Amino acid sequence: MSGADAGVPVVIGIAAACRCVGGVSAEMLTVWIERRWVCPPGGERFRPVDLARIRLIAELRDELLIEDSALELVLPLLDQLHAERARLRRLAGVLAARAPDELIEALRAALTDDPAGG
Amino acid sequence: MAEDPYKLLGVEKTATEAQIRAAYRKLAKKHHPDLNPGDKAAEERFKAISAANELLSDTDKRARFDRGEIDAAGQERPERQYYRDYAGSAGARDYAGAGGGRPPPGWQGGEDVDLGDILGEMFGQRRPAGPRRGADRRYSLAIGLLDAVNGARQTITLPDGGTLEVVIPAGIDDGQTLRLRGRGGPGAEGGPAGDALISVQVYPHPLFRREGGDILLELPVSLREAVLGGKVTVPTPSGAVALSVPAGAENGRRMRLRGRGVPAHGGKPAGDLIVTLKLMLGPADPALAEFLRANPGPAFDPRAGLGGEAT
Repeated sequence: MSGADAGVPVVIGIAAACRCVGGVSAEMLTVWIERRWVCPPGGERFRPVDLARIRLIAELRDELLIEDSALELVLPLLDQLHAERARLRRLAGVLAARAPDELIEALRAALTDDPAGG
Repeated sequence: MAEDPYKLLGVEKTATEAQIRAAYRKLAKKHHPDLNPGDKAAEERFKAISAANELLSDTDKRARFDRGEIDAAGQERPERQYYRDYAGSAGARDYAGAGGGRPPPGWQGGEDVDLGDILGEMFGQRRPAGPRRGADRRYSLAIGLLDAVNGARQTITLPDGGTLEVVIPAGIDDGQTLRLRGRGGPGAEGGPAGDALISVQVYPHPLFRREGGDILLELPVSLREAVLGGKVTVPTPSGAVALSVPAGAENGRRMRLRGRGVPAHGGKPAGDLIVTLKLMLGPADPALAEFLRANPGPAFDPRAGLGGEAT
């Protein structure tokens, strides 16, 4: 559980990343990196998370025809959503381990009384 | 078996290609797993929509489906990884802005714990729920095309120093996931261990290219072999074989070696090796040049039918 990204397989170089993902040109990927839509460590060491992200951006643009101007909006929102989910996951973990049954019961009731948040 | 693809996309049987694309895009935006990170069922819906779109946007497949020759199930699609599968990993912190993400779980992906599961566990039932299954763990493994085609054995070294022996079945394709039962996180209170999920990436090969069950190969032949015909040695994924090139073979001619592609696997028959001949003139032979100068040969204009005047 130590040593941040140690052991993660990486693909090195923009050309290799494009080959791995398919359907994305090196020029395109360079632009995405400049826009910081994709942030490979060191600028060219692509981890699985980076490759999955490139695939996602390509799919949103090319298949679902979401324009770059809209992606400028969608990607940060998606990142915020994931960050909040991670935070909630940590909260749920602490609650599950430490909270008294009474509180759990109250939370359960509050969440089930309020279907779909409204 | 599978649902009617027209119904799935909500279009008429007479829908145009543009209508189908538009219907697919609308549904895909709604159900894309990465746009629904908390919804496990989104992936199934998205897969069904994508399969329907794939079937109906291929004119040939669509016609065959309409005639009842193939059913909507088609080919089982390889399992793929979505961005959301990695969004909880250490690397995703770079994308989460300040304060986001989660402490590094060491190896990428970390434990596959879903928020819905945790909340369900907390708020759905009472706590101490007795034996619980361990978490699934995700790994990724990159292999060469030949190992993917022929099958292989690989060892993954885990961050904790342990190893995982992976038997890669013959015929595996890029993006597929292998499941090793019981090799994930340990269970709690006597529950079974989770599974290890290994997503396989296949690197391209300098000679062979894969297309479904077939393997494509460009085979250089000399002018002599093309004109006179003869046996040549052809590399295949399972070793070299002899191929008879017929006399007068054209450049670009495709020849099929039955059963020499991806071997039979998972109920699918073996694919073929499709060889495309590539004529190589080689070093100039003065005697041949002399012969051609002296013998104009039969009238042959390879550019006939291109339109316009041949120059």
